Amino acid sequence: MLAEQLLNGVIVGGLYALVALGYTLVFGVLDKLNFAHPDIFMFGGYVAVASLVLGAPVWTTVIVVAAVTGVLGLLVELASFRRFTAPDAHITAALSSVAFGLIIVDLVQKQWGSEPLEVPLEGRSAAIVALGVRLAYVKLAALAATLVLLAVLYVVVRRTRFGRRMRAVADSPVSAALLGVNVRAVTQLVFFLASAVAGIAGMLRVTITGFATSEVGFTFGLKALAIMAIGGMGDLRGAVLGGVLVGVVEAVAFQIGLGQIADVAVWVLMIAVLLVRPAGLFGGRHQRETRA
Amino acid sequence: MSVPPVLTLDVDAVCKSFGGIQALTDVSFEVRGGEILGLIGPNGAGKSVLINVVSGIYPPDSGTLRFRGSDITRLSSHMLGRLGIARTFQNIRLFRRMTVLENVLVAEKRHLLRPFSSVLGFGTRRAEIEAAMAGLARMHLADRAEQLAGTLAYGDARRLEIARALAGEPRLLFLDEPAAGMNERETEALKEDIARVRGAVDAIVIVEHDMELLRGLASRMVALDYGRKIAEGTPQEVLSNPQVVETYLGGARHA
Amino acid sequence: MISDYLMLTGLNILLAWSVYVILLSGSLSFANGGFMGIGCYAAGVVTVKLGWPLLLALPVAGLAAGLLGAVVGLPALRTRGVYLILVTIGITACVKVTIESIPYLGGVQGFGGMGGSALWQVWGLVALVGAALFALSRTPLQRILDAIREDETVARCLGANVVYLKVAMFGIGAALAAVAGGLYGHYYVFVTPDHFNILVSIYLVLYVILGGVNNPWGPALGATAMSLLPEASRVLQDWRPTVFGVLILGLLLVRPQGLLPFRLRTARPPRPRP
Repeated sequence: MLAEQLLNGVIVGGLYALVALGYTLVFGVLDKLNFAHPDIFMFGGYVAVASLVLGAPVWTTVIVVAAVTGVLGLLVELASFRRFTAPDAHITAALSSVAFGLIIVDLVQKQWGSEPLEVPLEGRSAAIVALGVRLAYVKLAALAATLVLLAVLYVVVRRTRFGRRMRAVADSPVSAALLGVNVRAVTQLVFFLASAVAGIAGMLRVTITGFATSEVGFTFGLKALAIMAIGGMGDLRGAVLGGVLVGVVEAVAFQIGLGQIADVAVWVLMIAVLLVRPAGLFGGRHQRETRA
Repeated sequence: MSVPPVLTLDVDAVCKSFGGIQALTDVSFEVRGGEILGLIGPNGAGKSVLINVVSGIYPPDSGTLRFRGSDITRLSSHMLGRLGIARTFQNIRLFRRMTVLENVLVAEKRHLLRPFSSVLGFGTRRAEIEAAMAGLARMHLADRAEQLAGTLAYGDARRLEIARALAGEPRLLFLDEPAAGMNERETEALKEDIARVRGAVDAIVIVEHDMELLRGLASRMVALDYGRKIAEGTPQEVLSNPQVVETYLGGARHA
Repeated sequence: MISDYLMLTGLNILLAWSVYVILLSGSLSFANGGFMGIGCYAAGVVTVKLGWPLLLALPVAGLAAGLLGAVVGLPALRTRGVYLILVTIGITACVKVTIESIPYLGGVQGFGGMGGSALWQVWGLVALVGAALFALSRTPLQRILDAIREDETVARCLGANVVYLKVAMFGIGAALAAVAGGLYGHYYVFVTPDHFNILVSIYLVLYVILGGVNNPWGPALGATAMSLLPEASRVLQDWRPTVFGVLILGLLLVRPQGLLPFRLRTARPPRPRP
C-alpha cells in the first residue's frame, strides 16, 4: 500500500533526520565529524530496552535514554575531541571517534549478545485503521515524538541564548571566544544535545522495529552521515530535509521493488554531492573561518 | 640603436577579485631578461595576490600572462613550475619534517617530470646530491644539510626556501618579502646572496616593503596600491613619483 | 591452525600496505575493504566461472580494481580530509550493496567454490611488496610524495603533478587490496558481501595508524600485532575490538605517529671523498 509506505518513509526519514542533525550540530561547532555518533544512536536503543526490562514506564525511559546517551556523548568529546583542537586535527579526531565507536559496539555486544534483543513493549502491534491505511500506534507515537524533538531543537537553536552562542561558535570559534563565549562549554553542551537526540532516535527505532541490534549503527547510522552530506555539511535544515527525502525515496523504491537500488542510490548521491556541490542539495553556504 | 629587451614575463591587464573584493585591477608590467625588478606597495596592495596569480595558484579573472612569448594565463601551478617559474612564500613554507638536503632535492625537475621512472635509478645519484650540496653551499646551508627544515633558524629557513626555489633551475624567480623580519646585517647578507645567484636565472622579481634590500639591487621597480599599478620605471623614477611618495608617507619603510 | 594465523597475518599486512600506499600521497582511504571485495569476487568469477588458474585470476583482479580505483579516484581525490573519508566510505558501501544485488555473484547469500591459495603465495607477495616499499623509500618518488604530504601547494609550484600521483597511488593501493582479496577468497573458499563491509575498511586504516604512518614497517607491525596478539591471549581475542579501540584512542592522545614513528631519509649528504 503506497500510502502506508509513504508514511513509513516519512517516519523513518524523521529518524534519519534526528541522527543527521546530531552529526550536523557537532560538525557545525567543531568542523569535525563524530564517527562514534551512529553507535551512540545504536546504544540508545539498548538503553531503552534495558530500562523497559527493568520495568520503567515509557516516559521515564525516554529521560533515562537521553541522559545516558548524553553523558556518553560527553565522554566521546573528552576522549576524542578535546585534545584535537587544531584545524588540521580533523583526521585525528575522526579516527579517534571511530575507535571509540568500536569500543561502544563491542561493549554492547558483550553485555547483550550479538542476537537481536527484543523490546518488551506491550501493545506494540496495536494499530488503528484510517482511510484504509493501517497506522500502528507505535509508529504514530514515534512520528509525534520526532516532530516534538525537531520542534524543540528548532527552538533551542533559533530562539535561545545557547542557540545563539552555538551559532556564533559555528561561524567562528575565535570570534565567539573573543566575544566572551565559553567555547568549551558550548561544545560540550552540543555534544550532549546531539547524543541525547540520537539516543532517543535509537529508542524510537527499536520501538518501531521491535528489536535492538548492534549493527544498526553501521547501516542506519552511516546512512544518516550520507544524508548529512547530501543535505549540506553543517546545515541543519538540510539535514532534516535530506533525512525525510531519503526516507521517502527508500520507502517508495522498496514499494516498487527497487529496494536495493535505493541503498546504492543514497551513497552515489552523497558522493555526487560532495564532488559537485559540497554545500549540499539544500544547504546555504557554510563558510567557516578556519576551513582547511 | 638598442635591441628591444627580451621579455621574460609580460603581465597584461590582469584583474582578480575575491567574492566582491577587487584585489587586482588592470595590472600591467613587464619583467625583462637579466634584471632584478622590485615590486613595492603597502600592505594589501595586492603584491602577494599577484605572485599567486603568476604562479598559478589563482587563475586571473581577466587579462593575459606571457612567459617568454608563450601564453601562460590558464596554466596550472605545476605546469608553470615546470616551465621555469619559481617562487618563495611570504610565510616560509618549507617541508618541515624533511631535511634541508631533501628540501632542495625535491625540486630536481627530472624526477618531478617522471616520478615513477625515478624509481628505476634506484636511489639518488651522487652527482645529484653533490649538485644539491653546492646549491646549499651557495646559500651557506651546507653544514645544515642533515637538519630537519622545521628546526632551522629564521634566516636559514628563508635562505633554504631560496635555495629550494633555485634548485629547479628556474628562469624566473619571485621572492615574496624575503627580508621580512630581518635586521640590517641580515638584510645586507641577503642582498649579497641574491646578487650572487642572479646569474643563475633570467630574471628576479622581489616583492618587498624594505627599500634597503632593493636599493642597489633592483634595476627597475613597479609600485602597486589598492590593486592598481601606480608607477613603473627606474627606482629613481618610481620613488620620486608623487603618488608613490604619498602612499609611502607615514612609513611603509621596514622598521 | 598455525597456517590460519599466518595466512590471516600475511593478508592483513598486504591490506594494511594497500592503505599505506594511498596514504603516501596524502589520502586516507576507507575504500580498501571495498577494493578487497572487488578483487575477491573478480578473482572468484575468473577461477570458478571461467575456470582459469588462480595465478592468472589474481593479476586480472588487481588490474580491474586498479583501473576502477584510478577512474573513481580522479574525481574523488579532489576532496580532502574528512570529505575524502566520507567519499571512500561511500565507495565501500556502494561496492557491498552492488555485489549484494548481482545474482550472478550469489547476492547476499554469498559466493563459493574458490580454492587454491597457499601460504607461500601470500608471504611471497608480502616479501615482494615489502621489498618494493623499502626500495621506494630511498627514491626520489618517495621524496616527492613526502613533499606532497607536507605541503601540496608548494609541491605543485615546484612542478609535481599532484593529481596524477594521487590517482596513481590510489589505483596501486586498490590493486594491492584486490589481489589480497583474491587470495583471501581462495583460502576461505566461501565469502559473502558482508566480509567486505565498512568495518573491514576501518580496521585496515587502524592497523596503519597503530603501527605508524611514516614508514613501511609501521603498517606491517600494526597488522601483525592485531592479527597475532589475540591468538596469544584468550582475553585479547574475546575483547579484540575493545582492546583495539582503547589502544588507538590512547595512541592518538599520546603518540599519534604510531608505534614506529620514524621516517626514513631519502638521501644523505655524501661522505667526504678520501
